[in-house]
Amino acid sequence: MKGSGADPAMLRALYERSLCDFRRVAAAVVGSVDDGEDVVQDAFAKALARRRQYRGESSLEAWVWQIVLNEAKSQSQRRKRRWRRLEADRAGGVRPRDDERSAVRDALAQLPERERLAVFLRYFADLDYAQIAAVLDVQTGTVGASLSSGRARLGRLLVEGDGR
Amino acid sequence: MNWEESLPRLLDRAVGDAGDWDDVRRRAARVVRRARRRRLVASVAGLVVAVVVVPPALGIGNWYPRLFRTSEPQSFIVRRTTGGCRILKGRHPIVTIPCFRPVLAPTRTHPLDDFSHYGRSAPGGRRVLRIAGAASPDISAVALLTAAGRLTATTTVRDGLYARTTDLPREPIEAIVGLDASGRPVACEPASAPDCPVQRSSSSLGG
Repeated sequence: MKGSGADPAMLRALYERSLCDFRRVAAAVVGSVDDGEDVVQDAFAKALARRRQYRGESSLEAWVWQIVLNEAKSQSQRRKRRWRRLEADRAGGVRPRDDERSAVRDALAQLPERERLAVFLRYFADLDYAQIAAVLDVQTGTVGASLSSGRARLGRLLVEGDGR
Repeated sequence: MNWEESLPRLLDRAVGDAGDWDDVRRRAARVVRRARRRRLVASVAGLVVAVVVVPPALGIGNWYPRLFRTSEPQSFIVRRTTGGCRILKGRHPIVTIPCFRPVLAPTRTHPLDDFSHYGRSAPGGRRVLRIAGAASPDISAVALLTAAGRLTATTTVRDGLYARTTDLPREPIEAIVGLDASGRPVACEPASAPDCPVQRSSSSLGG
């Protein structure tokens, strides 16, 4: 397999085996379950279309995770721009933010990108440190540090949110 | 609040839905089509840059249309060489390219192959902006025949080529006249110029 591109059958097997994990993380990054599903479909489509670019330097799963995360980040940017336009259109409009889920979502959104992605991959996709390191292209130790500081920051943000 | 317990609940619905691999394949086909389209557009853009932008930037602009149009003389000279046409600017060869022009002067029957650049037509002829061309070996110099019948801007032919960009007359030009070593007019371009001195017994040369 090394250097010969990704096998479509293996991509399909990965899709069927880990679809839920991919969707959870994509939805978390994008902030919408529907958009997350769309992101995963697009990401796998890109992986399938560009399967010859897979050089076997990392595991196939890590390669696909990178594509999913990149796609999710692009989609997230587009969503943010859309939101900004919408909110500008309805001046003074307020999104409901009073439940526990919204509080966690808001806190997650405030994490630095690497910490946020590490948290998503750890808690939504159940990847171990080595897998996260391969996906984010960082050292395993960096994953531990990112998760640790992400957890601490998240805790602080939620405590502050409760205090308000 | 225990956020670690809250996380999975954020996305309950994302877990249960079934995937659609056929949809992935359809989207992949679209990705491939888009990539092909982008490559095509990039190739066309590259070609346009190579043909339209680069030649003028390198100082060899206007040679391309010359391969196919001979009715609008430019300041570049094309001479037949083995396997193609050589494009020169003044006396300096720029490039040799394939060309399809059947006969290139100078020949004995067509001693001047003139590529001079003319401005707008004026009453009595066109004003010349640059003169350049190739001449047969028996032509030593060329001169401009004005609409008033005067020969001016005499230019020496070197290595079978002539070129001049300065001291050109502002008056309308009727023809380019080829002069032999003794200064005698031996050819006109166009040959049908009504005042071409070749048919006459004498003419005065100016400079």
